[in-house]
Amino acid sequence: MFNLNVRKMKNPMLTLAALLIALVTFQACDGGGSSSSTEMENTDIVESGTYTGTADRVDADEKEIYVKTNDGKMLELYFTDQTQLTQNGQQASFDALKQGQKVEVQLEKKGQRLEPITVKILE
Amino acid sequence: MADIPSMWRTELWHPMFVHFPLAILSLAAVLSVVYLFVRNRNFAPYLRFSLSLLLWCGVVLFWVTFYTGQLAYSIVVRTICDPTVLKDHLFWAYVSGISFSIAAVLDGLFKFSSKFKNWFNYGSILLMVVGTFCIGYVGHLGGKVVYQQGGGVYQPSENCGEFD
Repeated sequence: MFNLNVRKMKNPMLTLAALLIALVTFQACDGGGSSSSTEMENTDIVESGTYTGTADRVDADEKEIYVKTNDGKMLELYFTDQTQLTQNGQQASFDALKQGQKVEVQLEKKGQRLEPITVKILE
Repeated sequence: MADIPSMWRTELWHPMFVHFPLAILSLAAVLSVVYLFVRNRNFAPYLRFSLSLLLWCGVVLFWVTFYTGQLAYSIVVRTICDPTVLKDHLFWAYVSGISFSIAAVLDGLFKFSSKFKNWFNYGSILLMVVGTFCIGYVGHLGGKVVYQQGGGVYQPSENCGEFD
């Protein structure tokens, strides 16, 4: 019944091991890996309103910014199709947002989700 | 009238993959516990081989699933009402993945090393059991995202007109 030769199976096992190491390395080194670690960070939930702060991190791929407000709260904001980004009173593309810029954000709190309605780049 | 959305949407790759590592890794953990109590010298190596194969295949599938989960995260986080549940889901998935991955490495060391075999064996089994509890909690949180908040789920129109 048990005539399986375990030694013969060494190569597939080594292949699997190599695949595993490659995948874990990919997760660790890829941008996806670093973005998942920031996604796991705890951020603050605030009431709907307008807040001023600094763009602590800008993720162009995710169209996402982390805003450190003047009172020390960290807000994680995912842009939607409705989010309006402006600079000097003009519509701006997401590329205009840079880390460290002063921003004013108007938010709507929906459940525990913060939806940015407008984002103004102040400098 | 709205069109019925495709079943090949980016966020749906995750549920297509996720059940495989859950089942495979849980089974590996169950076999690892059984292995602790098996005294039959003929049977034990085959059981060990089976659980190792399940563990390694499960870990590879796990990280593929984790990647599809990250793709889904970017989409679903914009629509659900409580993204903190999704964050917890991601965090515990990461903990589970690390736990099973280290278990797989220890399992490899158990096979190919001549020293500390008992440490590698018990360490690997312990991590598989811990990982199984974690992965169960991950599944629970994933269920909350889908069944409480409708993450990735299409809401048909009130009159179901798009299905006519």
